[in-house]
Amino acid sequence: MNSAISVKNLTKTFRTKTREAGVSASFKAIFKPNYKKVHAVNNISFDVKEGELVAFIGPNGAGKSTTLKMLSGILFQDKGECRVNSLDPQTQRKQLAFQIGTVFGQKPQLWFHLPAIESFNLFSKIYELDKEEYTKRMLSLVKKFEIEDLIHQPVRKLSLGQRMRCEFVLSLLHNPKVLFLDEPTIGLDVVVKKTIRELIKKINKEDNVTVILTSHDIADVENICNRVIIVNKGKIVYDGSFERIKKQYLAKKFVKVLSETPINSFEMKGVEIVKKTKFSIELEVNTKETSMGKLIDFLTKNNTINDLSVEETPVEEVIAEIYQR
Amino acid sequence: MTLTKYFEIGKINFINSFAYTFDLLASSVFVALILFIFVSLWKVVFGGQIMIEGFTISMMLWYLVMTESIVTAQGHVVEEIGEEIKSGQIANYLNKPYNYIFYKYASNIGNGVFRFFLTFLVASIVVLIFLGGITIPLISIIPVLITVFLAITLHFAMMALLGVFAFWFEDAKSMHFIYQKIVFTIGGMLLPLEIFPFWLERISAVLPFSYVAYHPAKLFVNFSFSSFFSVLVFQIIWIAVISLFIFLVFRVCVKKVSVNGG
Amino acid sequence: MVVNHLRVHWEYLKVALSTAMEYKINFIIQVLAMVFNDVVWIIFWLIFFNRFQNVGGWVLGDMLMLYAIITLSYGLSSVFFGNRNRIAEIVNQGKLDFYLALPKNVLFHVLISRSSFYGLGDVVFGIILAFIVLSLASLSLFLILVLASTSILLSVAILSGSLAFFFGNAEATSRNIFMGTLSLASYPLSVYQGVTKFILLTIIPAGFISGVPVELLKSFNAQWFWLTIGFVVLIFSIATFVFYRGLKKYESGNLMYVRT
Repeated sequence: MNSAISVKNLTKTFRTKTREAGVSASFKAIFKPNYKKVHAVNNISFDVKEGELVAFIGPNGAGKSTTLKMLSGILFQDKGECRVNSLDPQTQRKQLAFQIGTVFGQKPQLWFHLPAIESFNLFSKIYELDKEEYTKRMLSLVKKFEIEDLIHQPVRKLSLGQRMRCEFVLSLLHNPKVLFLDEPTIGLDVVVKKTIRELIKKINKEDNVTVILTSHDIADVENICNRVIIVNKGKIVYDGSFERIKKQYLAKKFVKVLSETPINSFEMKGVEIVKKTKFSIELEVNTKETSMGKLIDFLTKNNTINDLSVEETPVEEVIAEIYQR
Repeated sequence: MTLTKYFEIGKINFINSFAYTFDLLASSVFVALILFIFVSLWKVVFGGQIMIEGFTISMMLWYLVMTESIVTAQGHVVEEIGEEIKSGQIANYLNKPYNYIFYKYASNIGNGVFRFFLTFLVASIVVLIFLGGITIPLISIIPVLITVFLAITLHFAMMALLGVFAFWFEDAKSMHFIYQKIVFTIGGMLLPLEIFPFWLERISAVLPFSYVAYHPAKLFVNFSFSSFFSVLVFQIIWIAVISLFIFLVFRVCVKKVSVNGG
Repeated sequence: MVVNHLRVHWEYLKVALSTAMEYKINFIIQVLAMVFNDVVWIIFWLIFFNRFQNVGGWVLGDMLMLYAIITLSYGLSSVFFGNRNRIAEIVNQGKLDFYLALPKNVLFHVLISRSSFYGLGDVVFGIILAFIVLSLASLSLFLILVLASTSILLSVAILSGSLAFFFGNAEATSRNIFMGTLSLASYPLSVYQGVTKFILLTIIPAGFISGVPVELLKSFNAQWFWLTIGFVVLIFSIATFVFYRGLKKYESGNLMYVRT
């Protein structure tokens, strides 16, 4: 398979104004502002294969959006290079724009006062689409996203979820090969989020569209993507499958046991006793060193178990931990 | 604890006012440019003449310094009031209708006086550099400042009246725009009324617009106590008449607001 | 290429028209306000020339010609390039992302994606004035000069708007530069002399917006005509160059303020 995106040593530095608190400092800042360099993206490299579904996650200001913007030709990089569908976003912005679609959760592209259909028509002209093909594609997308009843109402009258579905259709009209989604589910309720996720997966599968998305919602990532790139302070700190995060970082499980017979202290490799009373015990189990089966076997053999629960560390916490390294 | 909080709020407001001052300076620079154009224009018009319609060239330009400074002293009163009335924010003032206008006046007049002096300073510098100064009798300063203050007040009153009218006419901005142009012309901001054809001069001289620009500025460059008193009386009459209108119109639209549930 | 861009332009005009029609009353009031503004200025000059007849060689007819040119080029650029005065805002607030993600020329796309239809008031007013003061023979020259002056106005707007790439918050400054240039262009060229006149024909191109075109319409001079055309090409090239130079410094919506 071809690589849809390849990024090599990409770097982007912003000059930001820093200002000290206080009256005299703000007075000074009018005449002589202080500048500070911030490495928004610091020498990152990665490859994305055609048809992959990749999540870009990281804390605020980690460089996710900046990377996405460089890939879509919105920002110029300082150093390094990137290719999207073998095109250089810096010098071949226009050609590239025909092949990519963007949905920015916080920057709507639809005209607020107009019905979505008018925005669709306008975009068909911007993308120089053939009228017949455009109509066919638009109708099929409208059906897929179930917005038949919405496209003739001014966008301002739609709910956020409905608006988002229209945004997706708008960005897919020209049949892009790569789709950049910057926080596409921001502000949506749980049910709508689920619909949007399903739709993203559907587009990816049916049209073989490469999807790169950023999100602060780990559930998005878990449900949609087969690959996760975690960035922090402009650098990639993790690149791999979501399953691997689970295996690698979610090896620790918490086991709570209530017994009818008194429980005795015991020792087992990979098991640590957190808390113990006469009839209950809480354990931290490293599943890499011992299997859960073995532990339960041991417990049932020695006690009459009344109740047993197993808990995982929440994924959010694990990822927050990765951010911090 | 509470005191520190208020101190912080005060400090933040003060810091914000720096950005605001910057805005003011920008509009003063614009006035400076206009005066530069006027200096060039009137130099050519005067040519060798010493006096045109009782104005020497320096009287003419200092007249314009004055009119520009007064007219730019009030900001976006029409838009401000129009917006607050339409959005129903005035509902809080329902019981005492004139309090709202007075409140607006109080918050605008201080700012207006400040803007007047700033513009006057900048405009004076331009005229001093490119043309020269003017001698005025010391005794005229206080009377002229009084008429300037009343002119700014009258200016505010007319804009407030338009703001109240904006309740019916959608576009407050356009109304402000049109009012501005009226002051520019028959208010005498761009030309002293003496330049007008006689009939237009007569009409313009009695309308309230000329009491914002023409009369105080004329007094500034050509002072006499008799004209001071006549300007003073007419300014007060016009302020009273327009305030009455504001009061009446405001009462009607307050009723509408309360009917619509504000 | 060009055809596709024109098609998009046409589409945007249709969108803008349907938006304007949604707010009909506002639209009509704005058109009338624009016409009122133009009428007031004409009255000002009628009064002025009624009293003075001649300002450094300029008579009332010349002034009306100047207003025909200025209202037309202002109105045309409002209608067809309605984002003219919003470049600084679009850059500073990161709204340029939208245009950069789409396969059209960025500067062109920015300029056309909005249309101030109330500029039609100016256009109609300018046409009426032109009918009053122009002879049929000079019509083609008039049209060329209106196009030239529209291009210069646009270039000034692009140049001043591009300041936002380099200085961030430049919205007020950019607007003041544009309006200042326009104000300088709204008076007879004959009132400016010496250094001022030189500046107005170089750094601040107000003279080429209105004064020189009027002089050319009064008495044609091939040298000045070609100088005007050359100037249009030059300033437009500089404006485009500066815009694309600035684009490399574009920082998108990442307005980060660090408090230390």
